[in-house]
Amino acid sequence: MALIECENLSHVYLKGSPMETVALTGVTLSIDTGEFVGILGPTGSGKSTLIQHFNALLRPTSGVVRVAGVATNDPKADLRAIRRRVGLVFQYPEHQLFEETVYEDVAFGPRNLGLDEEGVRERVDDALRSVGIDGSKFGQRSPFSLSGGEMRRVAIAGVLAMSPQVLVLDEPAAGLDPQGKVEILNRIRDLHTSRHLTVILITHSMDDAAQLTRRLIVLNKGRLAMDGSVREVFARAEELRGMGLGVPAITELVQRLRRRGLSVRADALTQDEAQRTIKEALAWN
Amino acid sequence: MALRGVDLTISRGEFVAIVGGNGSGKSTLAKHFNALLLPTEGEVIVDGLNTRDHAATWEIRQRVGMVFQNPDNQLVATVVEEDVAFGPENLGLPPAEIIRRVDEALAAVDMLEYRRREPHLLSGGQKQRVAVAGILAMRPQCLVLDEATTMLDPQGQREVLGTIARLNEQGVTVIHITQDMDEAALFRRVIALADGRVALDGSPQDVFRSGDELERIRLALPPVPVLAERLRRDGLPLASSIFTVQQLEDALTQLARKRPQASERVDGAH
Repeated sequence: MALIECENLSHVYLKGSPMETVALTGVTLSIDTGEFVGILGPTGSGKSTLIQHFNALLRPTSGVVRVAGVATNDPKADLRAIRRRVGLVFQYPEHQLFEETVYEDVAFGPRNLGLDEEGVRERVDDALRSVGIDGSKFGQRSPFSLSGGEMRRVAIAGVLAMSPQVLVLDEPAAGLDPQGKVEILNRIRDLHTSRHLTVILITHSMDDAAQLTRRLIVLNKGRLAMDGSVREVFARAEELRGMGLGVPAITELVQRLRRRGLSVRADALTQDEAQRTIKEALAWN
Repeated sequence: MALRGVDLTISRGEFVAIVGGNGSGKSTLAKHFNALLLPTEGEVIVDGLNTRDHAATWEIRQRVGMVFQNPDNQLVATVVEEDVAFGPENLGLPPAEIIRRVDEALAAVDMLEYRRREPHLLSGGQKQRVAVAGILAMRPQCLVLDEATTMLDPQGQREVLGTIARLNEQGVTVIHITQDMDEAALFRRVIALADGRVALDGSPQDVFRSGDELERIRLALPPVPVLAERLRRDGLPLASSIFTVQQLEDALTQLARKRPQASERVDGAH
């Protein structure tokens, strides 16, 4: 059974008012347990609106969204259970830190679940460990004394402490320096591989999408424009460019070389693939 | 302490990227260029004017214009051309001159056809171009962009970078603050800050050569120079000045022409 299913999902903000804005139109897709999916799309394409449907923060204007089989617009649906299952990390989540200590901030969610102090402690320690923050060293510090990258990891730990099955992140690397970006993306990759979390990730970086995810969903003007493997999607470079997107730098290079007559494979995504195909095309060994 | 003993000179007409990790001091430095911040110690001289001299503040800000990160926080008017006119109006210029400057500025960022639009309906890249036009209407000699491309999608980034490159060709000095090393590769000079100090300063070639040093200061080589380096290690004669897709594409295409045994492309085959 699909974990998240959208069937003909449309969403209209302020419907019936003069400010009415159509954000999503007829989106149908399904995401299974264990997937690592990237969502691409230009600004205003509906990415953030879409992911807020994944944990019932928004509900469809028309169409259906099902999370683990439960329709989010069913009046009997247990929305708290859906939100526990699907953890949503917004853009710049460190802006939502508010407690006096790192420990208390991460403990906020589990405490609301009604766990005893021992259970809360276990959840907090575990969540901090999985984002690479040493709880014994940082736990009693103010979250606001940390660096930007550390604050962001604490904010993600707050979501992980709810033990979600699905982690949805809206541009988790935005605004971080190149090293901070590598650290956070590696952590997310670890969560996927070692904890078997299903991960859905919005990104503007084609390079990150190529390195991390296996499947890409592309939105354009509120509609599903593409849905396929990373290789399939990046093979459609012209269409992506037409939407204001692009392909990873490495892929762009091999595609351009091919247009200039070199017999390289046009779908290279990684350094290894590009290095090999360029050497072959130049008969360089 | 955000900056510690920074010594540097930027000359008229330069096209400079300032890079650095989170907390390296790059935004603090940028805000010293037009007297938004004043040095705790030391001096900043802009076109002969000392930023500590309060009487010179407005003249300095007219010469050095800043564009900030968030496109939604910089536009004040409800119509694009009124937004661009805001600065010249405050200078007390005659209406005909204001109109001329607005037209020129919007043309320079390729936004003339959007002059009667509402700014909030524009894309991120378009908003930043309008913000740049608002600065240009003040006829500055220098444009400082403080992470002005960070929040944009790839198309918006291309638009803004294309615009500032064109302006630089027309003589405007451009200083672009960024964390994106792919963007930095497009500039003629790259200054890397770390812990409030200048760590590296030179051509992209000089700066990108220091791969380990870049990592130490929380930056990273982008994919194209990494690939070029790997191919170089395999013995391909590629210049160390290759950082962009275009440069590597040209170099490899030339190399292929020199090697007749290289396989010709067969359409449809990989």
